Amino acid sequence: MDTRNFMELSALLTGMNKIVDPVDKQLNESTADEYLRRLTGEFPVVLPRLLAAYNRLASIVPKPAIDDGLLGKLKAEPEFAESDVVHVAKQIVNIWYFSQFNTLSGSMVDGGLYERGLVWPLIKAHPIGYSNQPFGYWTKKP
Amino acid sequence: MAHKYDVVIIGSGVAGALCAWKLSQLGNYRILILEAGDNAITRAQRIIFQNNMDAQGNRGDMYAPYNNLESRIFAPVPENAQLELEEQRGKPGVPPKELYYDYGDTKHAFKAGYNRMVGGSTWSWRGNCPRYLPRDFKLKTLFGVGRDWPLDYNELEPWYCDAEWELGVSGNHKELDGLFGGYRSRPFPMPGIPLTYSDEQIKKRIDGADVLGTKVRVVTTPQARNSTFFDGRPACEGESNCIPLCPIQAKYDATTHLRRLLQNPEIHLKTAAVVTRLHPGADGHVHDVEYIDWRAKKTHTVRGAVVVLAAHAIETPKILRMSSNLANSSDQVGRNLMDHIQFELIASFPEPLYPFRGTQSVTGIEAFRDGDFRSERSGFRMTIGNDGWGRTGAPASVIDRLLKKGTFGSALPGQIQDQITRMVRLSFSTEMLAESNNQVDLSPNKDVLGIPRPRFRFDIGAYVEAALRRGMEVSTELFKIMGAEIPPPPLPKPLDNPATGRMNWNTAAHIMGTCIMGDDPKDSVVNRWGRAHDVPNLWIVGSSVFPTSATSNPTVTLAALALRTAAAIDREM
Repeated sequence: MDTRNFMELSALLTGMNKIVDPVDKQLNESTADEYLRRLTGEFPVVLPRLLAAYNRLASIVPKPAIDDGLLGKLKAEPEFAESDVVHVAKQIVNIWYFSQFNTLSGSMVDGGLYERGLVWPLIKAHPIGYSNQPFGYWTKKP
Repeated sequence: MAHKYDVVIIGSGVAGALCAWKLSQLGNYRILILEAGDNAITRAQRIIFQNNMDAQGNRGDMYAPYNNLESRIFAPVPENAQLELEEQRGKPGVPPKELYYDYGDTKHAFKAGYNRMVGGSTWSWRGNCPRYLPRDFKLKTLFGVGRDWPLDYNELEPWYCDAEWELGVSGNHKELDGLFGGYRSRPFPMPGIPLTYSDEQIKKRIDGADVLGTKVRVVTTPQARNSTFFDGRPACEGESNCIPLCPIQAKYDATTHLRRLLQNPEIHLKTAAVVTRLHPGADGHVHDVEYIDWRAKKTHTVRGAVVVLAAHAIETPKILRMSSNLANSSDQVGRNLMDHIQFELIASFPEPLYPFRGTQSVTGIEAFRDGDFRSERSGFRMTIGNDGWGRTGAPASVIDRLLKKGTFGSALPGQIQDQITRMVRLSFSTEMLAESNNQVDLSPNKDVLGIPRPRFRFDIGAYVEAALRRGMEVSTELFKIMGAEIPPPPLPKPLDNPATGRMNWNTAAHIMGTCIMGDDPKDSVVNRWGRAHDVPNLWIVGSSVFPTSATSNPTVTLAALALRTAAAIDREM
């Protein structure tokens, strides 16, 4: 499976350019490899269908990382009318922000890279349980 | 047969550990601590627990770090107790959730859980250590409800000071000295935890405000959390993970004392030992303690000149009931079961507060804990959260809600940032009265070792329900003063649940009562020192002896009592 396409689709769905930003590319490629492996393990049929739908639309290179026009087109594709495909799209968002995702039956699955969740820098907090700052840092505005 | 041990203590949580520690300081006693759990108390064990939380992806679950312990099979815990009664019991065609708790004829579920492990429930406690107020000891005399303690604040005060040093409580002496008449004869061992940025913003808006006739002060909660290097443990690094585990042990847990105790060759810890029965002799004393070693799959008996029950307020009465109803001539064993019934209201603050930086809560509001209203309804203690929407919604739930609305793409990061950084919660914990009909007894259903599961009859009562309503009014007013916006239903949960006809309350998991103390052997289980009225060498430590629940988190009070009971045992030896 093409990690690069998965990263592009992830950026499109999450709205986080950071995923495909060249500066963060090396770190994010290894993260994307792991997330793709875990999601494919849980959704071996549906995830490839979603990626295929994305690939049909996103053949123009180069393209902007965050493209709500392209996102709109993807949401208009027939696959996106299927609840399982929408579920997997949501889990791509979940795994990038929180390194966890839900199965179709609602059980939570670990993404394996908790500390790399994109939510933490966004809300200016450290991953819960992994402070990298000294006593009293919390008194200051981040 | 000679006693192998001077003292056998059942339970290695904070009550048992402190009792053992105090005894070890007072005499050269041979002490055995029996513990149902079998985890290590090393740094490596803490790291394993920390990693478990990641794998389970749920940092709000008090059991998440400990799910993989083998002891959970043989010494089960009530992991689904927080569910509503219908979910726990199951419905026609729907099996009940995997249960440890059982229910007979009950109005409410008993939602409080606890750990059965080396170090007990302090692994996953918040660490808050407010003292009881003087009037909390005289509820019956002053307000005509509940019970009185056989001792008063003055008698316990020096022991509170000792407990604060043993637990390592940080706090601001001046803020709390004289609170509702509760003087403090010694300062805290450490200054209070500094307020978070979030606390400061909230304090600016509400400190000194008149809220429905009461002047509000935002006060630093005394907490067993280091604000300096203390007792060999580091200062808090603000992990925001106090419940269910402090990764660096800046927060006290009972392993602190256990590690110290085990350096003494006279003190032994036997783990994987589930106590099943105490055997009284012809002299009316208990000497033999029977337990199942679930690793060896064998039953053993051990002898002690003195036996101390420290198995928390559910397992302690269970052991007495399983011992042919020992120490129960009063018929009060298992009765007067209490919890702090709490609820929380959430809102979005008008500007970013940046929660999840620092401890889960630093400050509280003490002003609503006492007053003449206590003849009609309970007081409540308020906590100002630094953990977003607390139990109402983890940060991940924000993304879930946005995704449910179909929000993807460039709109997501901004909305996530805006919503999570403005999250705030106020929670309020009320005082349950000791009532004999609220009880735990033995279920006919057994656990895997063949030991009866606990069965509950529980009703939070009108006294608490009235206080929950008042707590909602006060919280709503406080958010109004802050300019914070309370989101529309279904968030937050409404207090009244029309589907069940009951209130949507939460547990504070502060289990109290079931072996209460009193001067009269006819209506209490232990005396003012913690000794069973009926059995001269049997003592009980822990919150099971509390005759009132007050509005204080119970640990510092049970710690003070455990130290005091140990001194009494020493005098008798």
